[in-house]
Order: sequence, then C-alpha cells, then structure tokens
Amino acid sequence: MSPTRKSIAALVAGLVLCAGSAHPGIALTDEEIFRDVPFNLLNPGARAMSLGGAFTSLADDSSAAQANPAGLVTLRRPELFLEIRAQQLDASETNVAGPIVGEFFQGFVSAGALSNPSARVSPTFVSWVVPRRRVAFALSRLESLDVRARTENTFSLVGRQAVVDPLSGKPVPDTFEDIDYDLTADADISAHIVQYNAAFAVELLSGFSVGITAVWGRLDMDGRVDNLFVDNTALPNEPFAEPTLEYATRIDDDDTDLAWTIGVMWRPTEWLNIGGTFRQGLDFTLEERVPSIGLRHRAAQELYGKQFDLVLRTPDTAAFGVSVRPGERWTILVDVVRVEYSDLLDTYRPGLNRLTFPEPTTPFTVDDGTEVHGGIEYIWLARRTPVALRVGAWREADHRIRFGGTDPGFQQVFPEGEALTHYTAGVGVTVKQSIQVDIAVDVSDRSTAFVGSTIYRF
Amino acid sequence: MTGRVRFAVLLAAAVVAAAAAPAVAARGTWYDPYLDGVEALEKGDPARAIELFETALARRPESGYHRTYGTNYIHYAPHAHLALALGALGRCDAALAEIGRARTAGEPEDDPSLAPRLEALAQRCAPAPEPEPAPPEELSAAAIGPSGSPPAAPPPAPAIDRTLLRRGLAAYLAGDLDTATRVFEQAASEAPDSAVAHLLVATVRFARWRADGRRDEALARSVRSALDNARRLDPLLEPPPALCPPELVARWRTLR
Repeated sequence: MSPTRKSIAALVAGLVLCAGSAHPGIALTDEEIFRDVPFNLLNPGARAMSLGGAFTSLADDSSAAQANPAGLVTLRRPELFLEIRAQQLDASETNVAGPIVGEFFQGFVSAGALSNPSARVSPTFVSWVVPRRRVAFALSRLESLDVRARTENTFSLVGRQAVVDPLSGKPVPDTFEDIDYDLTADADISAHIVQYNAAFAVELLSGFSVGITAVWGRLDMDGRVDNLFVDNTALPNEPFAEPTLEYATRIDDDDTDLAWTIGVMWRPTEWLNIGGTFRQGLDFTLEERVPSIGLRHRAAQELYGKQFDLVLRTPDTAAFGVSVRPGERWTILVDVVRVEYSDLLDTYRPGLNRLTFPEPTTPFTVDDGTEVHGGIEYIWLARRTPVALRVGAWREADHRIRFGGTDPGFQQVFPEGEALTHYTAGVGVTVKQSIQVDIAVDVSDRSTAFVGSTIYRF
Repeated sequence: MTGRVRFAVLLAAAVVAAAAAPAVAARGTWYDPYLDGVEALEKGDPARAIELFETALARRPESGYHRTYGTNYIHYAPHAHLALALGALGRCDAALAEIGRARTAGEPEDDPSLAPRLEALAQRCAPAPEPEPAPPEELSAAAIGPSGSPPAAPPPAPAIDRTLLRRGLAAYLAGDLDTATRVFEQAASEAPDSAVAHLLVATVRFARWRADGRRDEALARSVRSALDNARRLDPLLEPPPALCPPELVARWRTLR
C-alpha cells in the first residue's frame, strides 16, 4: 500500500464506524459488494419461521425435507408444500464527518455509505413428500440466496496532506500540499443460489429415524465494482476534475456443487422430540475479471491477473433441537445452531477493497456463530378446524467480516458487527384435514420478512 | 477440519447411532398403530387390525378428535374399529361389547360414517329372537278366510348358506368388495330362489360400481339385473338401510 493510500485509510478509520451497517458483511474478496451475503439459513415454512426457526426437533411437515430429513417419516400422507417469501433488507445510509490532525493528513474527512437492497418476493421453497411405511422420500427446491443490492462508499478528504519521502515512505516534516479528494466505490451485485434436494428417511426403530438429503446447488452471480477518484482542486479540463475510474472488477458467471445433509430424530415419548442435523455448505467457484479499464487497472491486474477464481463457500451448519409437548395444544421448541461463517474466509482474497487496494495481505477474520432459536405454538379447535398461534425469537450471530490485524485505523474501518435479535410471530389454519395455510413475520433491526406457506395433504 | 471431512465423521456417527438404535427405541405414538389398523381392516386383514387397535387403545384409551403430528387432527374411534375387526372374524360377543364401548364413548356421533357400519354389525351379531308365541285361538280364527278354509301360507324363504352369508358380510363390512362379490354370487348360485341372496349381490356390485367411479356400464347393468331378480322373487322384501346405500334402496323402490 502506498503511503498516501495508507494515510487515507488511517484518516478515515476514525469516521467510518458505521460503514458496516450500511453494507453489511462481506466475503470472497474484500470488495464492498461481498461484505454481507444474506444466506437464507432459516428453516423453511411460515410455521418454522414463526417459531423462531426452531424446527430441527419437530420437522413434522413436508418442510422437513430441508429442516431435518429424519422427520419425514413422521408424515402419514403425501404432501405438497409451497412457500412464498417477501423480504426487505432495510436500506441504510451512514454519513459521518469530522476534523483530523494526523501525521499524514490535517483537515476534514467525511465518509458516506449507502446500501439499497431490493425488496424480493419469490417462491422460495417447494417440496413434495411421499411417505411409505417407515420410509419417506422427498424432492424439494430451495432458494438459499437471492440478493440484489447497490452500494456506494465515498470518502472525502479536504485539508493538507504530507509530502511523503519516496525513499523512506515517511512524511517530510513541515511539508504539506493542499488536497480535496473524493474516493468512491460504486457497486452492485445480483446473486442467486437455488438448491434442488432429494431426501430419504427411514425409521429404524419405533421413534428413532435417520434421514439424508442430497443437495445440488447452482449459483448465478453478476457483480460490478467501479472505484473512482476525484481531485476537487483540479481546474476544469485538468486531470481528475471529474470522477475518474481507477480500477474495476466484474463477475458474470455461474457454478454448481453437490453437498449433503444428514439428520437424526429421536422421539422417546409422545411429548418429547430430539433432533439433530449437519448441513454441508456448497462451494462455488466463479470467474472474476479485472478489466483493462481505469488508470490503475495494471496494478490490479498485476496483483490478481486479468481474471481469477473467486470461491463462495456457503457455511456448514450443525443444529441440535428439543421440542416438548406438555399437552395436546402446546408445543415448545428450542434449537441451537452452529454456523461456520469462517468457511467464508477459506479462500478470502483481500486487496481489492477501495481502502485496502493494492495490499493483498491485509488480514481479515470472521467468527463462527452460535444461534439460539426458540418458539411456542398453541393450537385450539374452532369447531373442528385447528387454528395455531405462534411466537418465537432467535439470535443471529454477528458474521461481518472484519479487519483481523492490530492497526487501529483499519479496525475501525472494518469493524465487527453486532448480533441481531429477530422476533417472529404467525398464525396458521388447517382446513378439512387437508389444506394448511400459515403466515409469519420476522422482524429485526435490519430486515423484515413475511412468509406465507401452504401444505396440501393428499 | 473441512466440511467434507466433518460430514464424513458425522455420517459415521449417524451409522453408529443407528447401530445403537435398539437402546433408544421408544414406545411410539398412539396414532400410528391406530391408522395402520384402519388400513389393515380396509385391506381385509382384521386379525392384524385387532392387534393394532389394541396397541393404540393401550397407548391412548380416550376416543375423540385428537391431534396427531403437525397440525393434523383425526377422529379417534378405536372401539368402533375394533368392533368391526372382531365382527369380520366372526367374534360376535367381543364385537358387541366393543360396539357398546364405542357408543358409550360417543364414537358413532363423532364420526357419523361409522354409525351404519356398526348398526349392520350389531344386527348381524344380535342373538336370534325367541320364537313368537302361538297366536291366541280367536286371532287364529279371525285369520281364517270366509270360506272357512285357512289362507294359503306363504312359501318358506329359500335358505342361504349361513357360513357364506357371514363370510360375505364380513368382507363387505371390511371393504373387501372382491371377496364379498365372490361369496354372495356363490350364495346366489346355491340358492337361486333366495331374494336376499340376489339383493346382497346387487348391494355389493353397487358398492364396486360406486368405488370404480360409476363408470362401468356393464357393472351397472348387472346391479339392475340382480335387483330385478330379487324383486321378482320377493316383491315385499325390504332392503335393510344399514346395509344398503340409500341410492340402492331408492332404486329398489322404483321397481315396485
């Protein structure tokens, strides 16, 4: 990293405290478009969502094909399941500014971060289950990622910048030049992961079953990042008077992978269920290009080549759940889920971010997360029609990729995130013992999601 | 440890858990044996059905509209179904006792489709009535015609083989229409002058025609033919409503 770039990074560090919340978590390269990949790791179905996603130990409808394949043997009749999800990740805008007096820079710095994800409405889960005596088969389709977002990060620096000794890389005492710069990363991303699952479950003994799901997934991704520079002191027609592209990256590729999920379920009594799953993540390798455009594209190409492999590794998850039915009307559920977000860093490639370029050794890290899900279901009969009321909550672990070194400036530029508490609720009705309709809402500080799902029992 | 290695380890753990499964075997639900019993009864295996209903009853004695899995509820009528299974095996005393328990528990009211089946079974299993006492002298005299000669006594109804009748009814009540058809047709061929035998043939053929989606024209004609035979042999015969569907009874009445 050049001294100038390093000084800029250090200067903005104290101001960009909230940048992460504007463009949450990232993976792959350290470009801003990958700071947050909002995987759909919650168990599918409005019933599961309204129970805070705690469904590993119950899995007693056709969403078990995803939640816990071992639960499929609970079903007595063939079922068709359809889920429609409407999700809005909140748009966020962060603007911070303040004076800075430092070794490299003395003046005024402002930083702005804007993230504007699109609202999505789509059928996210379809499942078809055929139970037979002690065994069950299921085919399902799940959208585990569907994101379209536009982000813009701007850093403005107005003041005096130290003249740097080219040999020592240190500022020359008492020598400054006036600067007025804007550095911008303008980006958008569209990513879509669809999984096709084939599940099989068998009840080995009364109350004890195992299940396995083969998962074939496909990722389609389009991404664009333009890194711009403006010198606001330049006169019209002088270099850098207008936003000037320094370097850019592009992604337009797709890939497929095969993974597995295994599940076990034990029902020692009629009022107690215990379940566990391990869900292997999918690995996708995409081609990212560094096109020959922009003033500094050669530096980027020297670092990464004109194209390089970009690996998106969806996290492995392991879940353990317990559900208790103290009476016919009540069900209480708790799941503990371990999400290996560190899988995202297995092939992490720093140095392409607006502030880390072109430093490929900038350290980043992310913690694995332990998420707790809980919910309560109450069912009553309106005449002969079961009506269910459900509430729940779950704790989403912080999974923002953050700076992993000791530099306090970068620690502030790429800070850790915060765990989010989601509150959920929903209702459901089962008509004529054949058609079940459920709706649910999931609210957190960062997103709101509505899910409607229906089950038809043949 | 990579995800794939971890997956292999967990898969091995699942296999070990499966091997250890006998240690964790649970008592099981009440509704699995109950629903399996209903299925066995419908498939003509009343002995297996009895075993399953007794298991279900041991796990849940209370009849009613109960939750199974998910948000599913079922009409749980173990006594009624146990009665039907016992009746299908000819164990009339036990069947009657279960019918009594089913009625006490309100099972026929809870699931009205069971009521006619239980009624038919009760009639079939009811003890034969005591012979009517001889009519008093004056009534016998009044029955004598003006000519002074007694009216001609109606001819005795041709008897059906009782074993065949029971077997056919058991199969019919258990939903085994193929067996019921075969048995009743045999009864009709052995007692061709029995209106009851032909009516039973018509009844079971009608049930098959309805189960087949009312598409088989030849079967529909054979129903009408059997009804005609019965009607010709005994115009005063009344089809028992507990056994014959209303549609068939109506058809019978139009023949008069």
